[in-house]
Amino acid sequence: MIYLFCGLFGGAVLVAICKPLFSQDDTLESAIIEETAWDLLQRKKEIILGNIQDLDFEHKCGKLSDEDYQKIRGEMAGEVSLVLEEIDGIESSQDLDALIRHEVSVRKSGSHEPEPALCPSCGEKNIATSKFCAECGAKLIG
Amino acid sequence: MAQVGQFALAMAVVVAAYSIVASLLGIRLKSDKLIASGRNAAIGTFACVTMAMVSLGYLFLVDDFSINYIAEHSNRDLPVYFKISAVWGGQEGSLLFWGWLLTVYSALVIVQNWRKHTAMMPYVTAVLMSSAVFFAGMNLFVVNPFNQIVVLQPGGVNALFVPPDGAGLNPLLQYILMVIHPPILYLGFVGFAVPFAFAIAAMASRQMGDTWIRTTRRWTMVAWFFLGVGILLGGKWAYVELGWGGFWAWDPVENASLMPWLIATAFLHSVMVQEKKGMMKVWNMVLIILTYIMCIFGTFLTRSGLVSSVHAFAQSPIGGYFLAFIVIGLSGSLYLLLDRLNYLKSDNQMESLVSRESSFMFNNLILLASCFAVFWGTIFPVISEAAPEWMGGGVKVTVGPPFFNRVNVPIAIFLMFLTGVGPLLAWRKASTNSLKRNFLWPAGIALAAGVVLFFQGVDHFYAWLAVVMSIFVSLTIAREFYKGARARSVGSGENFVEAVVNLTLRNTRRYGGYIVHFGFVLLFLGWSGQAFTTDTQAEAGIGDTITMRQYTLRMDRLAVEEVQNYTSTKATISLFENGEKVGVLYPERRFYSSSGQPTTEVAIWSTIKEDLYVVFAGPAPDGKKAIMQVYLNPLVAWVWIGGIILGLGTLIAMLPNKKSAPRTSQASRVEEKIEVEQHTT
Repeated sequence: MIYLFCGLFGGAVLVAICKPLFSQDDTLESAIIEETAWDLLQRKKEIILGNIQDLDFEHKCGKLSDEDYQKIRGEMAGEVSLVLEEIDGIESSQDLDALIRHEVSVRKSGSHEPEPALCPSCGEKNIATSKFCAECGAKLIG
Repeated sequence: MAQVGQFALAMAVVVAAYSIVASLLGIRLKSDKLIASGRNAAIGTFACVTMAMVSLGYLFLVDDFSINYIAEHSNRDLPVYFKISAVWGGQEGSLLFWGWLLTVYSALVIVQNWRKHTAMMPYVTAVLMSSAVFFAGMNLFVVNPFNQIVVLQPGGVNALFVPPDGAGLNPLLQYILMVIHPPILYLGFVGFAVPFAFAIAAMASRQMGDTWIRTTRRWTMVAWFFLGVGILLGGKWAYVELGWGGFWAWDPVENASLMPWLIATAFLHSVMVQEKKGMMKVWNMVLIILTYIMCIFGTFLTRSGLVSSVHAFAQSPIGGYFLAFIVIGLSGSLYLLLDRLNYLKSDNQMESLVSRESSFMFNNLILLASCFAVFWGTIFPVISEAAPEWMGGGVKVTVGPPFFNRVNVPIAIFLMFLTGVGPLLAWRKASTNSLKRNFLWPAGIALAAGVVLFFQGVDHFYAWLAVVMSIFVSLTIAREFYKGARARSVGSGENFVEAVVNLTLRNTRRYGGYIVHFGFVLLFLGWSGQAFTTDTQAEAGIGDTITMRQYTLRMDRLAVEEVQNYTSTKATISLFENGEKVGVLYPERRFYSSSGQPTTEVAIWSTIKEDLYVVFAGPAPDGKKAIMQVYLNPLVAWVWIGGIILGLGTLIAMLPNKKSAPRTSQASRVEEKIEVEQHTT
């Protein structure tokens, strides 16, 4: 009885381990890099915006003098502008990895797929965030 | 059933080892099939170790004394709940329990994060399973809880031996807190495997942003919470069960749990600097590696016999293996860290010494200094005993509470100071004007209270300083809530209480953290009361009284009673405060027949001001009277109250932040854009 139980238990564990080896699908999900330059910049943007919010609140609470507040806020605003510029740079450079990651993150967040940007020159459907047409290179509107 | 346990253990070792190989090979060969198989193997390891635990629990419940471990740690009369706690009451079972909790955490983490962090998870699996292989392997090959008692019969034949009854569980462990203390402490120890595994995975997969920190933030807090609660429960157990009048003796086993807690506390603070400013990346890696290694070291220290003597360590079968595991784990992690240093450059510089980030840095240094002092004090007797004679070694030296208190009391007071100061400082830089404005009245009131206390006779310097600091920190915390709620209510129209609640719920980490700080203040206040402990010893027969300050104890009865598992000699004592009867106390002395050990059951009359702590120390030489040891311990209740508040604060800090009403995706994009523009103008 004990041997039968051990056999069944061991068999069940082995089946669970071996099952993926015989599946058809090898999706290479593990090759997805989570922290691309684009991701890190997005995260940086979030952090600086969060820091600005905190700074505003701390100023409201009287933890900072007006002078310090203005100075630090100005610095933070400068930092976020730089980050936004870098994000724009990546998005307009047609870095496919970054664009794919962007798409994935939009889909993961559950928001609707953005309308594709139609090229005014050749009519090609481009990714919403593109600045130039992937087909003919014309500048996209919006 | 023992065979099932053996089989499950053997299978756990093989399956966990396969999980490591499949995960790493899967990464190398870029095969998701192998990686998924490794993941299933990790969950399979959980199933196997669970089966081993269930088998051992069952064998305890059915009193199978053919198993050596059960014969040594249980007996027929042991109540069922103690039989269950006896599963982890000895070395073999506690290591199995450790390994089991590890596989529980592993399975949960894998299921929770598999889809979210596809690139990191195979590494996480491999790291967690490396620990699982070690613990399951120790249980299978070195300290097997399923080994049966075999005796050599005449003629050289081995035969199974089943003793009629077991030796019983150590009487000191037969206490209800001891049923939950080890699991909770272990949940803490083992829990740090999760952030450690993610840290290693982040380095291995070269993804060293703050994803690993954000992913494991709650796991780290869960582990920190359990470790803290476990340490406090251990203190409570020592207080009510050991009968020496205190709750913390700087015993090596206590220190073993405190050290990882101190480093983890440093880690919890310094990750905020990384999240906010992209600094201290290497430091955070070092801290989490040290935390986990200290957890393993703590288990090793407690279980190897090293603390009692190096000779006991040499005789212990597990010491060498643990040491090897620690050395391999530490050197492997540090090698990876050195190899990835280029990826861990700080995004920012420290701008001012008077800023929130620098206060975090000081807090880290102080916590680490404290940990090092505890480590050195704990390990020094071992080193001095192991050192060769020409170096003055070979002598067993005891490092007692005076050393630990001399070093750690000033450290703790400075830490209190930082607890008060840190939250008042702004990130980046705090100007002198802001400092004056924020500090003046909390510091002024605390000092004024200090002057009053001094004239009321509190002349013990550290105790005085501790009280002054406690007042200062409490005021700064109250100020944070007050100012925050006021700022909030101005904009939202909420009343003050609503504003405090919403303020906390919308930034649980910060305000939960403040509540934790307040709990720490109370705990520290209770701890400082130890400076004023007094005690007396007296022989008392029926009708005799013992007087201690405003309390009078009158011995009413002395009775011997046979209970299921022990013989009890119980005193009934009426307690009078200023001549008025306030209660009845029952200090007791027990004798456990199965193990032949006596224990004392303390009677405690606890108020928020002080504890009257009565120990039945034993019968007087004339046999008619009892020797009673009575302690008056000021403020002890605040240690437990502080602990509860600390725990509650941690739970609040673990809650997700309450968000505003959800925006539609289109609206959210527009609002985000406006927000960015607003912030940048």
